[in-house]
Amino acid sequence: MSLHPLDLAAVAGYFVLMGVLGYFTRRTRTFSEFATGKHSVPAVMVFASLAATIVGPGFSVGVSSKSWDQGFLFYFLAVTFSIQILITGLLFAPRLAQHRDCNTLGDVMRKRYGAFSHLLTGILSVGLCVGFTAIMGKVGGSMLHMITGWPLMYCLIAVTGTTALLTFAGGLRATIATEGMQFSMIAIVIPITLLLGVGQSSLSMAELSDKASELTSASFKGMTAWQMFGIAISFMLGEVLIPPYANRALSAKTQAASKSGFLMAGVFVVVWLAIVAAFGIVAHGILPADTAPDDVFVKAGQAILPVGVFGLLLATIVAVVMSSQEACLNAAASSLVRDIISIFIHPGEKWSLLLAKGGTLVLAALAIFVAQFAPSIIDGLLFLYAIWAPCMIVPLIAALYLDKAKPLAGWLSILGGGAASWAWQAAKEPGAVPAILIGIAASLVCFGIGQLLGRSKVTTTESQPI
Amino acid sequence: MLQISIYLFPLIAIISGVASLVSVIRFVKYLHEDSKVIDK
Repeated sequence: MSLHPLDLAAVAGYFVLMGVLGYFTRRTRTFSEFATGKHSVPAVMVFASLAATIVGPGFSVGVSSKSWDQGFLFYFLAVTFSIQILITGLLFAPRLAQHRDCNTLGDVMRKRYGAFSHLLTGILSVGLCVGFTAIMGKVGGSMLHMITGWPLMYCLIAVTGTTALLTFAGGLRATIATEGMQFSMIAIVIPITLLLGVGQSSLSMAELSDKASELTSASFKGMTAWQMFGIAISFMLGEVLIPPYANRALSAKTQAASKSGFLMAGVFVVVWLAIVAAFGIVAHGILPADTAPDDVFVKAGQAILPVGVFGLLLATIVAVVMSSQEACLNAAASSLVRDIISIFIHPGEKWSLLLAKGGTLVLAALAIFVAQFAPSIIDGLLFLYAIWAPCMIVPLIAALYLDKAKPLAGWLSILGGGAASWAWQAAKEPGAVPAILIGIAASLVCFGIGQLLGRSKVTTTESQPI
Repeated sequence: MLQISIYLFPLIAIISGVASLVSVIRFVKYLHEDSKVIDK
């Protein structure tokens, strides 16, 4: 793809803006500041950063490519995601925000279940976040490759490396500030592109509506009820309280700020997914019918927007990738220090901060390496959902609501849920029953067994010292 | 569904984006002031 110098200038301008933001927000004194921003983030910033994290490549470019083929069907399946954000806002985020002495999800788990569950949570958190960073990096790298023609490896390094440098310096508060800016770009530029696209479409609104109905009904008939249920349940449960979201709940100024931020983000997901789904449908009036679904978003944008402004859309796509990566990298580095290294040694405040900053760069390098083997975005996300949710949902909710949860129940449900989900996936999901459901059911059973058989002694009621 | 997605939802998103922009500017000012305190 050849770009006009004005488009290139717009993309370069975006990186300069991020650099300026990184400069103004660069200082962090303590590990707690790096991991949770001193628990000082207002509701609107919790909302903006959470929404920017949620709106990754899958929930923008991915949804448009699906709606090009399937109309609104994928929207109706993916919008179940908003249910988990709303439930988290109502029930879990305020409870998490109560734990002012906790810097990570692992800290919360330790208070209920002890050190072993803390370590398991840490390993899962770091693995999940590196996986997400790799998948996002692959999408961003592939786009940069398409735009510039540079070798893919250089593009992977450019995207994930820039994100790592921004996250490295300022920790969570800098991440939230840059994500807020990225959210503003995303929420303004893409809807305006859609509105301009409607004006330029060769199809009338009635014809576009007919097209949407036709595509939605055809794809609805092409899927079994179990297939649709499996996708919907994966979106609904797969990312419940993943570390980047949990860190935003912990970083909120008050419980009310945490709750409001999540509720606003949940409503925004409903609105946002409809916009990007509509973009894929409107593209039928702009692009030839043989356009590859994965190219729809960028090619429609190029056809709709004048030079220079198209560069702004490309910068927005980079922002979509980077905002999700920043959140995951920050959460992974915090978890690496707090939930894995600190289990074995107590590095102290100064060294914890240094380790977290160094960990950001090391984990980014690992994500760049993994990105070369990452599957397609939706497949990759569904795979990660099928690991996190079965391991963590049951013990985590119990940790937030049960005062007498037993240590055995914690680690047994993590290991049992994860093993069952993994085995079910390995067996190719017999009867088309989603692995995520089998895993959560197994985790629940294991938790019950642990509660019955385990000793009631809680290892510690306080989070461990840094 | 398509009409709501085209005529109503983009306006909500744009308003959210502008509100977020205002909050980001305030937040960055606060962080910058905080950085100055650290420098001292």
